[in-house]
Amino acid sequence: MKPRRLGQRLPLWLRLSLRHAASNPVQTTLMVAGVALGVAVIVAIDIANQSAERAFLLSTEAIAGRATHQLARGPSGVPVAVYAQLRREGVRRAAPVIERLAVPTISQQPLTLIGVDPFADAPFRDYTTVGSGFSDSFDTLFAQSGTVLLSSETASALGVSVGDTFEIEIAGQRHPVSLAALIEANSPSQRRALASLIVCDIATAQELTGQKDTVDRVDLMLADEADLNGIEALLPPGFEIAAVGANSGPARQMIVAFQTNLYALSLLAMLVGMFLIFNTMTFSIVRRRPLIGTLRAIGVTRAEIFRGVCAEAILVAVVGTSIGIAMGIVLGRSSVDLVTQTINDLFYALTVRSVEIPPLAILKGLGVGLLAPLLAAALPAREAANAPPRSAMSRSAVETSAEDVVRRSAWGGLLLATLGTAILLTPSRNLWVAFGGLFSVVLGAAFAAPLATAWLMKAWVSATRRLFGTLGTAAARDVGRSLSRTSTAVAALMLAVSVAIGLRVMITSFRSTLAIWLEQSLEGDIYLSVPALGGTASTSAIDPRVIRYLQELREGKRLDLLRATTVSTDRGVVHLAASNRAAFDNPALYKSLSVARDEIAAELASGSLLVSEPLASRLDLSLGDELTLQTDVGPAPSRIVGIYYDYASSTGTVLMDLEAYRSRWSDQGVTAAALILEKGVSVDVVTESIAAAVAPIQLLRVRANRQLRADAFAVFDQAFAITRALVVLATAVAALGVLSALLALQLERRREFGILRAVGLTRRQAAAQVLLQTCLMGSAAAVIAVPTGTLLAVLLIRVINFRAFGWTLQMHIEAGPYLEAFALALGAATIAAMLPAFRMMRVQTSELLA
Amino acid sequence: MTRRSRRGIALAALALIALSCRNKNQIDAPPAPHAAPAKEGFEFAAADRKLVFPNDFGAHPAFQTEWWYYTGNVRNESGRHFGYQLTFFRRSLRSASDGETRAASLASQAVYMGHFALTDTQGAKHYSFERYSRAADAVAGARAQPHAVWLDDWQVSTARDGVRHIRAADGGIEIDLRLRPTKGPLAHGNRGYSQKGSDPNRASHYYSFPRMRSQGSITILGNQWEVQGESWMDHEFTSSGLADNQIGWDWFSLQLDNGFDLMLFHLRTDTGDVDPYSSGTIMDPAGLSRTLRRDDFSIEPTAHWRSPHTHGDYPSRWTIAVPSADLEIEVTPVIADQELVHSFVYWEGSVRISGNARGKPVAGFGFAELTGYARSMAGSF
Repeated sequence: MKPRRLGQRLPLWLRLSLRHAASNPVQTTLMVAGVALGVAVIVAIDIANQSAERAFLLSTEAIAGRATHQLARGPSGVPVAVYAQLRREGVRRAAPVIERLAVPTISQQPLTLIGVDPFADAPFRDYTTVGSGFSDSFDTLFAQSGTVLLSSETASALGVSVGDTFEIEIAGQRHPVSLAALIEANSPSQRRALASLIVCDIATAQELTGQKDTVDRVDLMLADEADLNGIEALLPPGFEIAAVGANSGPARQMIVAFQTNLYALSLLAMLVGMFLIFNTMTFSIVRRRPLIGTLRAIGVTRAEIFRGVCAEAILVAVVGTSIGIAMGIVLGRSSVDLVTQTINDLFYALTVRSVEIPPLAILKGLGVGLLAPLLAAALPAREAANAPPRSAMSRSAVETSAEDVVRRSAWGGLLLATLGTAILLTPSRNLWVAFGGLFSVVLGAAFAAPLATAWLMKAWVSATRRLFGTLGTAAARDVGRSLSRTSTAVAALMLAVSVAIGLRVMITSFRSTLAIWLEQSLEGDIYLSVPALGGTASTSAIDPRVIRYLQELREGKRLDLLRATTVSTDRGVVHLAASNRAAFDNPALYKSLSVARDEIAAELASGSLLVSEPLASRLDLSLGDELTLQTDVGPAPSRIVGIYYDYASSTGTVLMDLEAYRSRWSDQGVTAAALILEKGVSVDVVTESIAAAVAPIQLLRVRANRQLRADAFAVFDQAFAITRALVVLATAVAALGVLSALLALQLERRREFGILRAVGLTRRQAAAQVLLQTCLMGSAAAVIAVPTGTLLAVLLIRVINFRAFGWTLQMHIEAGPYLEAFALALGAATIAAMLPAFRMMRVQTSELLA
Repeated sequence: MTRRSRRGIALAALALIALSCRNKNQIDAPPAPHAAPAKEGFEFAAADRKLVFPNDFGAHPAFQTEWWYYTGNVRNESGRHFGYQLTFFRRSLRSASDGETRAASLASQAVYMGHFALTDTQGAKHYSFERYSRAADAVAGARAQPHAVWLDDWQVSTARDGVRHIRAADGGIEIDLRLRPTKGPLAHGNRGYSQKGSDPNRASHYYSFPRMRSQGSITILGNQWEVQGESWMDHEFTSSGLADNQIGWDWFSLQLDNGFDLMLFHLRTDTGDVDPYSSGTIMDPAGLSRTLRRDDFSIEPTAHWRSPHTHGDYPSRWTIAVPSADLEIEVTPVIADQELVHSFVYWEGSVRISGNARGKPVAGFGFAELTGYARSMAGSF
């Protein structure tokens, strides 16, 4: 079919819109790009989040299986005799489990080692029962020590085949294991769940973890309360049966909070994108007012005009969204690694081997991508349609009405900001509510931006006159007067820049708080610990021989020991740290105390607890509350005497005295040691000699204070990598907005420039004028972004972060983020001005006037 | 049965099947040569090995396969009759001579399988259950002195006075009995060496307690009966299975009211004949025993029963004669359907005896085991 024929079939309004889009390729491209970028960010984050989320759920489900309850006894594990007792008493749905972090030395990708008894396990976990290869090698797996199963994907990722021996590292000890068989998953979801697992027989797991007579836990399937009571009656004191689900609490909550933050940031990027679209649409309407006026005068109806503008928006939306979704999928694939890495570092061993393209992510992208441009175009479209034919043709009418709009928008902004503040003040722990408030405040600031721009231009007129003479005055006045085209561009840029400021200030505050805290809390010179995931604390014990060696070390002045583990409490499973110096020397580390500072040590020795700030916030604990710990000698209600700052773990920690711990748990293990050296001893030399001395005993991380700090920051920076990427994307969207607004502005002012050129303005001066105008816009955006961004930072730090992680961060304002923001705004504006200025240099006056 | 528990059983079945004996008729298992010889490193039954008690009451890890078989017939005061079976099978996955000693308390070189069945004659019901476990003292194992064998809460233990206490429960069916041996242990074959084929390695060590005065309780779905009667215990260990041409066996343990006991088995071949290595033992009231060779006795099926579960066609009534003892008896299952359909399919059930011995009427009860009718048992045990 020939295009002409098609064109003739289309209604007039649609043909006009298409023609307009086709004859302004640069603007059309920019609008499409804006939509595409916005959609891409949302889809990408959604894909990354959902892939990680699915992997997390599948992997926890795969590990927990169909167990309804788990029998555990804190760090010392469940003696096999207790498990045997259950079975002898006829408790048949009971399966012993050992679960550990294991890192194959070939890949360094952490996996979860799960040791099960295939016979007892059959009712609990499917993957221990599947596959034909399994039966062939069953006797090997079962009866031969050091044999394991992997999914075929994991095996090929590690490059091992059946019969091969490879090395895994568990708690700093390396063990050769051989691949007995592959587990064939019988569904795609199972395949994903198996990706992060090494499965072995329970006896092999006992041998690999050095627990000859214990297992980590016993999974149970209980039908009712009577079942539970029956089993509890069989148990000696110190054992706890927890419902499954309660166990996966802390890590899960933290991951959700982390992902909510990412989602919200992606929405912020989309918001900037919407401003861009709104801006471009508004401008394209404003530019066509004479045409619209003519059309109305020759009989085109309002509805047709409205439909035409909307059709244009839809066209942009459809093309932009399609490109955006494709881009989002590509971006999503690469962000999965970033998201997974952070989750691995901070919360949980996770392997995401397959990236999922969840239909919901595509739907969200479609929804936002199609609706946002329509929404953004609705106002300009209505305005265009409502304008009476004659006034539509006059420019002054537009700008007069724009001034009204600017004032009304500022009032609206004020209203929105007030609403947002009210939302933020409501005492809710829900993150989405907090983000809702945050958005309202930020959006309010964006709506107020045009009025602020107008004021700024008025204020700057004298300054620009002094600096650039009449042309300077003209530039400032011009920006102030053509608000219909400039204000949304300024608002969009301001939004992007304030998001950049807000996030940067938040990150620097976080980083400086962390630095101060590390400074205060890391008293040791040399730290020893068992290697674990990224920033998480290992709960595996250091070999006692290493501790003895450290105690006898001549250069050592003091040795602080720490036992990190997880224990059950009446408020769920929590991380517990027991130290021989649980009371801090530095009072700044306490947030609050219920006893005098010199009594803390004695209080702790008698069994009282300190809890970290995130834990207090997460479990809603306050001073004087009792937390009941499930100890080996039965439940021990323990009083909370202090809350301390801790930025090492967002899940929170209970801190107690090591002796008090050992009197309650039959566990002499130590998971970390800090050595304080005698004066004048070289830390580096001793670190090296310790590393060399312990290497034959156990693979430990031996780090000097300095190194530990550097490692902590590396994890921190990694965690914020994706946030930074989002800031860059949001700014890119805003820069596109400014570029499109300026292009349009300059295009429209061709005649004006023609006249100026005709009366003597040189090409250079004309180009300078263009540059000056955009710089003024960029500066306005940056100036307005300073308070907005700071406000955003305060909200992120005080409200969002506190609600998500329970951390008190010290607001730390330095020039860096602000200077960067100015550079960003001016840079974006300058880049945006390049093309119009360049054109100005090249065109002939006659062309401009034509 | 739910899908889940079926899967569990499938796993357990895989476990045993994968051991070494790949039966071509078994579910899921790939075709494999029949009757694989014992894995390297296992000991074969030998004519010069003598049974020594109490040592031989326990497990024999040097042999690949072993079982402890408790069967019995009991009644309550009003004469309600029950038959029970509690069996523990042990199968080694690796021989002890592999040399690996393992530290873990759950380390295991063998698998235990348990079968528990109860026949309620009056209710015409037969209940049966199967379990698997790793061989690890905590969960399943056997001990010589005092004798014990256990798999979870299915347990046999021996008191100081030699009385054995057997307990098992599953699905609302429970037995709790004390068994006092009144005869035995009695060695079968050549002082316990029971040859099952022309290859002298194809043999087992085999002894029985043919009479154990039994007393205790039977519970079926909440109803409990105090019962007494007689039990029979078999213990056999070997490292070889059936020969290539042997497709199954008919085995009997018969307790006659004149004080005599009989153990007889026919090994059936694929040509429909009875293998010449079939044999038996006759034990007099004083506990003196005599080995019966293939030609010293006859077992003639006189009726058949077709299993509705597996369509296996089982003999269901026999005329058994031991001419040298002037004995001819009719043996009839107390109920027809006593088939166990688990990882292995076989018929094992309580039988009633009536006939003549030395011209006098005799009666009694016993147990019969019929294998290879629904599926060939070659290569399994």
